[in-house]
Amino acid sequence: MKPELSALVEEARTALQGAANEDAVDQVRVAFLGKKGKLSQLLKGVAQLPAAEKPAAGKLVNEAKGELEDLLARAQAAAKLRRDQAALQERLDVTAPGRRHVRGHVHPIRETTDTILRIFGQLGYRAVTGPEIEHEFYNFEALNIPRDHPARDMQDTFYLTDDVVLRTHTSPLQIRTMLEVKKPPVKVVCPGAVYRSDSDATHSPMFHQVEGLFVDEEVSMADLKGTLLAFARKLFGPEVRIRLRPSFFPFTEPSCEVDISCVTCGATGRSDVEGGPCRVCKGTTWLEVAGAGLVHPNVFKAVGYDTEKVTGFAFGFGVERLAMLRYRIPDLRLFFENDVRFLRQF
Amino acid sequence: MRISFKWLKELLDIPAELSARDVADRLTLAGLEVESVEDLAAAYRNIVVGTILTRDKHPNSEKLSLCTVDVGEPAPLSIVCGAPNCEPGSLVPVARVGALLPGGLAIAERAVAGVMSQGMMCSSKELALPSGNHDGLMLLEPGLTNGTPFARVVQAEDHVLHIGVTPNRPDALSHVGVARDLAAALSMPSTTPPPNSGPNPTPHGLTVTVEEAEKDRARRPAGAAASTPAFRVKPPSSTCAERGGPIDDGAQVRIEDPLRCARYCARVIEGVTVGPSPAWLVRRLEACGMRSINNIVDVTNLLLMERGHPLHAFDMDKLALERGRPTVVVRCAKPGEKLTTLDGVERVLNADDLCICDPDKPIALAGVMGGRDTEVHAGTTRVLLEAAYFDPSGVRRTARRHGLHTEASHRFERGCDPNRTLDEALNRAAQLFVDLGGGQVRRGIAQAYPRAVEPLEVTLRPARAAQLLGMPGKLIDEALVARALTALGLEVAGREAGAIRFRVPTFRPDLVHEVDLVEEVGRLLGLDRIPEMLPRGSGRLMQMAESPRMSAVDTVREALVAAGFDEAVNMGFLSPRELAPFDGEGTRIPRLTLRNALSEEVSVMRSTLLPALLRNLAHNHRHGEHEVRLFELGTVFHGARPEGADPRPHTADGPPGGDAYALERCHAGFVMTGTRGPAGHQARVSSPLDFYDAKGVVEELLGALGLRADLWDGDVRVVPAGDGVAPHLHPGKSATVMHQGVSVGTFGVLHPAVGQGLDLPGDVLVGELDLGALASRMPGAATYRAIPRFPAVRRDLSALVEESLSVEQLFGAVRGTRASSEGLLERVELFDLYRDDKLPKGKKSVGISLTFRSPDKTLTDDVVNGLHQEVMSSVEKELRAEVRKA
Repeated sequence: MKPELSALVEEARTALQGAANEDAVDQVRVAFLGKKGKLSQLLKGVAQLPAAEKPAAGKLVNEAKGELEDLLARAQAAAKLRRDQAALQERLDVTAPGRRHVRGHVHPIRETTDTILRIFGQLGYRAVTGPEIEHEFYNFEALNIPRDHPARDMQDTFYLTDDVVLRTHTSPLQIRTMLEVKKPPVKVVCPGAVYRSDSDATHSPMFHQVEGLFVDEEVSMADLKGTLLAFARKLFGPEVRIRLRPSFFPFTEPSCEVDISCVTCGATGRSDVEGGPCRVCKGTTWLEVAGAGLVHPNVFKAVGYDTEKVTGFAFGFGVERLAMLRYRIPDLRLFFENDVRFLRQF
Repeated sequence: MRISFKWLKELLDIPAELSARDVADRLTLAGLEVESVEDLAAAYRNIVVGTILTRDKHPNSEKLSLCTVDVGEPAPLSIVCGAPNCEPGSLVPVARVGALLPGGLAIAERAVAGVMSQGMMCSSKELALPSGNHDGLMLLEPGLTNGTPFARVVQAEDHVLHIGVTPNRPDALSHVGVARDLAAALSMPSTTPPPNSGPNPTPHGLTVTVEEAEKDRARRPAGAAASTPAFRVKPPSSTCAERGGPIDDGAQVRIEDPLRCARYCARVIEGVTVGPSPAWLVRRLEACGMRSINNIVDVTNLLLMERGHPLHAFDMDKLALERGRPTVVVRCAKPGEKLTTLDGVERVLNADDLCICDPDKPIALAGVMGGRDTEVHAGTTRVLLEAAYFDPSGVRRTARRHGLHTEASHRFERGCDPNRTLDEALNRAAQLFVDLGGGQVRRGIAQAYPRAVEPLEVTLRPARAAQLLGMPGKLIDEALVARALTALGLEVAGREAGAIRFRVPTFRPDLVHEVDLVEEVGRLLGLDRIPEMLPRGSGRLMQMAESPRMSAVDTVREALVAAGFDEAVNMGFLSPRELAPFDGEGTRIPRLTLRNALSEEVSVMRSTLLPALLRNLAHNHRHGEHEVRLFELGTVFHGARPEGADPRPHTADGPPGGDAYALERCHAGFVMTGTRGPAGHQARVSSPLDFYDAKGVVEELLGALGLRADLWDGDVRVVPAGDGVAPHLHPGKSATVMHQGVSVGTFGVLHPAVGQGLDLPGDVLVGELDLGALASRMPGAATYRAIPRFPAVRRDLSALVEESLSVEQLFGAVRGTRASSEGLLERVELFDLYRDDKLPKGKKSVGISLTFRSPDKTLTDDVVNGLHQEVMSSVEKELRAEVRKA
C-alpha cells in the first residue's frame, strides 16, 4: 500500500508544478482528492483488506491525504501570489480622466422657460403657443388697446404692414386661447419670443415671455398672489417674498407689477462683495419680475365671455430677466451671442 | 413726471415725520411709481453762508488774500482767496471741506501757495448760478445767519420725485393730482406696513385678518363720518378779479368741429407787461424740469404742472379780426394750409389736423403746439388765454403725424378735464398774469361748449370688491369704499341694496367700470393686504386639445443635447445679405420685411435658422473654439399666407394661430465643425466630421420622434438634394429627407462658397428639418411586438459593384427576393463599403449582412442557404454585381 501512496503523492507534486494558476491547482485537487479522485480509488482498496490490516492502511492513507492537502494549499497560495503580482503590473493611473460621451447643453433661456412651464404644469397649467407675427386685433384691439391710444406707446412695435405686427407680448395668446376654449375654465401658460423696437444694454429687440391665464368662477387677486408666490418660491427658494404694486396694463384691472425680494442680496439691499448697495436691486431689496392683474372685462367681452359670471387673472414674466437672476448673468447680450464658453456653463 | 416735494407739502399737510423717501414709497405702493428721488440740495452740500471776519495779505502772493471766515461755528475758518472783493463784513457762500462744486472741483483742506486753506469762497459762476457778478465773490443779502445752508438761500432745499405715470392717469400729471392720491392713501385706515417688514410670511397665511379689520374699525373716531378723509388737498385760490371791460367786446370763440373740440374757453387780459418771472416761479419750474421764458409763458407752465391742464397764451394783437373783434375759430385745417409752430418749423397741415385759427389762418396746432407768429413776446400787452378740451385720439394723431410730443399733447392724449380743472386753471392763470405782469382781466369768458362732458355714474358692490380683491368682506364694507373713493374726489350719488352709485369727476376718465373702482379701493388699501391663496376654481377640466408640436420640440432638444449639441437662441430677424445664399436660381424665398427695422442687419424675418447658426459658428471660431456643435429650435417665416390678412379671429374652429398672417414653421437646425470621436487622452484617431456625421444626427433626431430612418425598414427616404433645392449646400454632398413623398428637411456639407464668406475653415455640416411637419407625422405610442422565440441566422454578402450603384439600390435588389416577401429576412445592414486602387476601375466593394428568421420555426441551414443563394443571384443578375463566394 505504502509505495502506491508515495507514488500518488509524487504524481500530485509533479502535476502541481505544471499548474499555472488557481484554476489548474483546483483541477489537480479534484483529480486527487475529489469524490472520484485517485485517493478515493485507493480507499476502495483499503476496504477490501483483511480487518487486521485495515487500521494500519487507514493511517497510511490519512497521512498521504494530509500530505496532499498540504501540497495543494501551498500550490494554491503560490498561484494566488502569482496572480496578484501579475495584476499589480497592470496598475492604471486612476487620476486620468474617464471616457465620457460628450453631452450638449440646453440654452439658459430654454432651460428657464422649461422650468417655469414645469412649475406651472404641476399647478395644472397647460402650455400653449401661437404665432409671432400677429394681427393688430390680437396684439392690441382685443386686449383693450385701441388705435390712437397712448397705451400703445408702452410697447415700441415692429410693423410689417399697417395692421400686422411682430407681437409685442405673449398676451395675444390670452385671446386666442379663450376663443378656442369657448367656455371657462381656462388654465394655460404661453411661452414665446416677443419683439420690441428697442435695443440697448438692457433691452433686446427680441426677448422671451411666459404668459399665464386662469379663468374660472370667483378667481381673485388673492388667488393670483398665492399662485405667484408659490411659483416664486419654487423657482428661487422658500425664503422669497413677493409684493404686488398697483400699476396699469390695458388688459387687466386691477393691474399690478410683481416684485420679489432680491435674491442676490437676500433682501438686505447691500452687496456682500463691495459693501455698497446691492447692484441688482439697487438697494431697494425688491426686484420687478412680472406684470399681472385680473382680466379686464373688455377682454372678456372681446372673446364673448360673461363678465359677471367668470373672472380670471393673467400674468407675464420676462424669461431673460428670470434667467439673469437665477444664474447671476450680468449682461443680456450674452444670451444671443451663443458663445459655447457661455452655453456650456449651464 | 417731476414732482417737487416742497410744492406737494404746500398743497397737503404731510405729517412732518414723513420724508420725501417715505412719501415716495407710499405713492409707489398706491400706484404712482416713484422711479427715483432727487435731492436738489445735494448740489450745494457743504456750502454754507459765511461772514468774512479778517483779511490779510498772503505771505507768498501778491494776488491772494488770507481771510478768516465765520461759518457759524466756534472757530472761524482760515481761507485763502483770490477774489478782489473779499471785504471783511461781507456775507458770501463758503464751500467747506467735502463740498463738490458744479464744475467738478472737490473741496479739501490744502495748501494754496504754501498756506493751508480750509475751504473756498465762491463766485456765482463757480456755483453755476445764472445771475450776479461773475468777477468776484457772490455777495449775499445781509441778515442771513452764518452757517445757513446755501441751498436754503437759493430756495433749492427740495426733493424731486420722478414718477412714472401710467397712461391711464392723466390726473396724476400734476402736483394737485399727486397730492390728491397721497391724501387719499394717507386717509386710509391703518397704514400699510413698510416694505420688507414681512408680507407673506407663510405661503397661504392671511396678512390681514378679520380681527385686524375689526380693530381698525374700533380705532376710527366714534361718530365720525367714514367718508371724511383725514387728509385734504388745499389748492390755491382759483378765482380771478375781473376788472376790465366785458369779454364780448374783447373776443369771441367758435368751434366748427365739436367732435374734436368739446369745449373752448378764452379770457382776455389787457395791459400786461411781459418780463422776467420772480425767483420762486423760476425755481418751481426748474424743479419740474422747465426753463423760465417770461412771466406770461411761465404762468401757463406753472398751471400745467399744478393742475395738469395745458393752457396757451396768444398775443391778441396778432389775431385777425372778424367784424372788428378778435375771433378764435377751432376747425380742422384745409389740406395744404401752413403753420409755423413755436419750434420754428413750417408745417404743412392735413385735413385731420385740428387747429386754432383766427378768421384767416391757423395760429396753433390744437393741443400740441402754438404758432410762432402769435407767440407772446416782450412787447405783448394784450393776451388771449386759451383753456380747452380736445379729443384725445385726434391730438395723438396730429402729434404723431408731425413728430411732436409736447407736455400739452402728452396730457390731451391721455384725457384732460373739460370741466372744473379747466375753469380753475384758466381763472388762476389770468389772476397770476395780473399779479405778475399787471393789467386787467376782462369780465367773463369767451367760450363754446357744444358737447357737454358729464360725469359718469358707476355702481360699486362692496361685496364684489371684496371677492375680486380676495379680501375679507368685513374689511371692505360700504363705509370703507365710500371713504376711499370720496378721498379721490368721487361723490356718492346714491345707494342701492348692497351697492353704492358713485359720480366720477371728469378728471378721472379712466374710471368707467366697476372693476376700475375696485382697483382704486385696492391700491389705496395697499395690495400687500391681499392674502395669498391658491385658486380652488370650479374643478372642471379645460376643454382643449394638446398640441403635438411642443412635445416634439422637447424630444428633439433632448436628443440633440444627448448627441453633444449645445443649444443656441437667435433673434427672429436677420439681414437680407445673410439670406442670399439660401435663394436658388428662380426659387427666391419670399421675404417678410419689417417696415421700421432697427437697421438693415435685422430687417428681414428669418426663413431659415442656418444663417444665424453659421454666424454663431464664426463667432466661436474667432474665439478659438473649433469643436462646435450648435442647434436651434425656433420659428421661421415663409412669407404671408396666400389667403392673406384677415385681422378678425376665426371664432368657429381651428387651433390658435390658424388665422395667422404669416406662414410660420417650427424648425430644428444644426451646424457642426471639428472632429469625430472622443477628445483628450483617449482619442486615438480623430477624423474630421463628414456628411455621414450629419446624416447620423438627422437619424438620431428622427428616431427620437419615433420615425425610423433605417434604410431597410425605415419611415423616411433620404435622397440627393436636387438642383436648387438647397443652394446653400454642397451639390454632391447634400440630401433631402422625404416622408411619405414630402420633403421634411435637408442636410449635408455647407457649400464651400458660403463657408468662405464667413471665414469658416474646413467642412461645415449643417441640417434643417421642419419640426412642425415632423410632429404631425409622429407615430403614436409604440405597440409591443413579441420577442422572437426562434433563433436568427446571419449570412454576409460581399460584392463588387458599379461605383454609381447606391446602397438603396442594393437593398432594393435584396428586397425583391422570396426571403423578403415571405417575411423571413428580418434585417439587412451595410457593414462595409470601400474603394481601392486595387479594385477594378469604376468599381467599389460592398458588404451587407442578412439576418434570416422565421417567427414560427427554427430555420434549418438548408433553408437559409437556399434563401441566401436567391439573394446572391438576384444581386448578381439585377445589379450586374460580382458576388464574392466565401
